[in-house]
Amino acid sequence: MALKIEYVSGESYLHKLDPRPKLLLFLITTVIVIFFTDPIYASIILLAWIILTRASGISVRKTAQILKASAPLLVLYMIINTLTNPANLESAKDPANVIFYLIPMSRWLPVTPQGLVYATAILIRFIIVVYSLQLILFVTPVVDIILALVKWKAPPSLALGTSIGFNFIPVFMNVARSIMDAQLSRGWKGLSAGSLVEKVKALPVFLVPLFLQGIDNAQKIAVAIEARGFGYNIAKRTFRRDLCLNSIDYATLTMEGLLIGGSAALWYTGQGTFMFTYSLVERLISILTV
Amino acid sequence: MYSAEFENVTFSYAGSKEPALKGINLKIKKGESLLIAGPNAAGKTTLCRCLNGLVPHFFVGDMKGKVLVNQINTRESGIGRLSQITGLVFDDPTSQLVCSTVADEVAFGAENLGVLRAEIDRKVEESLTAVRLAGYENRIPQTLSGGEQQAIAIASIMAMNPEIFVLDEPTSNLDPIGSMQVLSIIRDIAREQEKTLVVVSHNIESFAALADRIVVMDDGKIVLDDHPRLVLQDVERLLEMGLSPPQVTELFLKLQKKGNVFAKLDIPIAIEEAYDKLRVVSIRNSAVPASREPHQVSLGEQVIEVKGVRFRYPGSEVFALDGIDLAIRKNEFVAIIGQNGSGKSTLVKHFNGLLKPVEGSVRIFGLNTNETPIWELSRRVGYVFQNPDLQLFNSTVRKEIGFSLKAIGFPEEKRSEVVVNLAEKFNIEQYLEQSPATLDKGGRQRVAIASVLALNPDVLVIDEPTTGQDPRNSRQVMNIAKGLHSEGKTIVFITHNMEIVAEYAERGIIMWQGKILFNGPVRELFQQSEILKKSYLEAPQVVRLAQMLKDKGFPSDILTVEEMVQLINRNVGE
Repeated sequence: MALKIEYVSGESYLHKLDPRPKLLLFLITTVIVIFFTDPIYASIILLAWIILTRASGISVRKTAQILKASAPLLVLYMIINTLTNPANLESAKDPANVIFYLIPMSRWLPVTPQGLVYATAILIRFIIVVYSLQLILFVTPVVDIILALVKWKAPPSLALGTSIGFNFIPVFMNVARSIMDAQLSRGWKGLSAGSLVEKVKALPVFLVPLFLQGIDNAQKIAVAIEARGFGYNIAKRTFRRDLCLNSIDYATLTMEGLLIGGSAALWYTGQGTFMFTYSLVERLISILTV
Repeated sequence: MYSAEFENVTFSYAGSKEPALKGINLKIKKGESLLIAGPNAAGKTTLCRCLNGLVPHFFVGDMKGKVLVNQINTRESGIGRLSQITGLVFDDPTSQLVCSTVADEVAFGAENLGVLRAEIDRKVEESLTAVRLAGYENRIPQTLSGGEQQAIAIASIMAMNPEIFVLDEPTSNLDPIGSMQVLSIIRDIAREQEKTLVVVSHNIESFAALADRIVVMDDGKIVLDDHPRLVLQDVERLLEMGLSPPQVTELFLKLQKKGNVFAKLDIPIAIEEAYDKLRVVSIRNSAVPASREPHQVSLGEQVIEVKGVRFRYPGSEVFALDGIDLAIRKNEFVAIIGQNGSGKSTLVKHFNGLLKPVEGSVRIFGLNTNETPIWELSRRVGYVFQNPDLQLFNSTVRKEIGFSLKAIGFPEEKRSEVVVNLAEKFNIEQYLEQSPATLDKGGRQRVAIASVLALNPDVLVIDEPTTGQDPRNSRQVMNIAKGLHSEGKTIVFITHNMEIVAEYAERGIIMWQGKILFNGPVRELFQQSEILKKSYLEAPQVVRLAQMLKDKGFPSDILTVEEMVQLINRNVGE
């Protein structure tokens, strides 16, 4: 399970956006979902990101792939969260609130509607953070992220080093695959065969050449970039691409400002907590029971 | 005016006792084009590193004497400053590209030097046009072919506008198409009067024509340094050092030794010159005097049987193998040739089950690879990879060679005997208790082959023994293969080196875009001019020469220099 570092080219609004307001959009979303614990609020934000995905010409399924791959983990997370979240713990003190016990025929692990609503919100908020980050990675070349970091005063050597590292991943994967093939070709049974002890014993067969090749490759890269003047005068280094804010960027920044302001106002007036959805649920339950 | 001067330079890398350079004196004129040749470990790469300060600033060590680049003493200047004078391109294209788009890659050096943005855009455009890759700006470097990647590495040096271009084995890791592509770029640089060019290469045939001078190094010293024609006169010495002079040069030297009419002529260094000199000869007896055992159609049992195989890699739309039918019989010696991406490696990886067909079937000694584990197939088909370092991991050569035996549970008491026998056979018995990492590349390669042969497979697959190797190492591996073949083993190898194909293989297979275009005796292979042209392959120089002289009665199915020598001697009086 990992986020995909992959640029999907396109001409959409998000593609055209400067990486700074783009990254800001992700950061603001993250902060908002930290403060707002209501599932309906969170769903609206998630919906907004899904609309953004479609508008960027990127498949929602592709963006959600990482979530799908980690579904079992998410389910487990949801269950644990339902039991341990503060809303559940608090409301479970009153047995009247408990709708069922996770271990039936006992009084262990109570679940309350408050707890369920709260846990749903947590799950959606988690999904939002992962999903929005994946979308941002799809519509932003790594170089642009680096440039944004440089503009935000990260040291260029660190930023460039990160970028080189990212670009080197596929090369390294190829090396790893070749080593695997080379060892399998001489009778090695691979990492999946045998008992745990045998597996551990088999590791050096793969890891030693990989490590040595890694060092070798790292040195080659170091030599290659030195030969092209890397580190000559890093403070005065220029960048071919420059970031400059256009009208859509300013419009986005304005919108983001409004978003922050609006959210702050809502939060200040006590809106956006799970109680909002819960009160609706409560009303629904009372209607149903009548 | 000199671009670079070496004054009595001796250099030892830190931690090494033996100097890599021993008393080098060399002056390179501005605008000159220099070819540097020599066997592995001759000091060629170290010499290149001296030209931009990588030695002694990045690779530290003990340096005596001095190197001046544009009158600047490299010891007193940093690599950054020197990189504006000397641009260095390396042999391995993948590990010198670091950016996510071609335009960023080409701009990388100029950006480091702090060139202004408007200027950079212009330079990127100019450089990409110069290497004929305009329009590639937004492509991803890591997904391009080796030739294109190397062209981009050169473009990124061009964008820094250095005075000296140093190219360290620029074509040794490329396929024939890539080599041609890069060669034509280098030819353009050589023509520029303002630019000094230093090329290190084993491919003397291609580079001799564009060099003003050839420097031959051996064991850290310069042993020959002269005009190409004069250096190549010393063919015997070059051959002794394991270098490959142009075949026409070798041919004439061997003809002259017989003391015939050719003795008075200049030795040619290009095929056209040889053609002019041989036009006067007419051949009456055109039977080819086979210099090697004639091709025998093996009627032995079928060891590899490929039927209707199609294969594509996961996530790919294209079939890497598209309808392959092939049978290889016992004790055949088969070469598989073709450009990178034509399916050669994909095909041979089916021979030991590393890859399984998507459609069709592969049978090894009757075993269906779909149903047989790789470790079991590995007892019948040994696979030698191009890079021995991918498999060496043991603390001693003994353990390394014995690894496969241990993996399949071969009894321990018998293991030692097998290991010692193999070590003796490959001349590595004195290193049995040493770490494989301490051996030179040729030694490591022998250890890798021995470790594959420990299981005593009947078939040996050798993947590109010639790519990125010096000619001596390539031949060493091929001679091992030849020996095994004479013991009855079946050999299948992949190569880009057509001389090696002509010299060793009995059967040749040409692949192109996942299909087999030709499958037959090597002697017939090089006569398929249409197929060779379509797949961008070129017959060895001496074969082409014979074909050019067809109207003089020369047979077109000559394979080696030796055959040509015998043919001419038989037809020309003393």
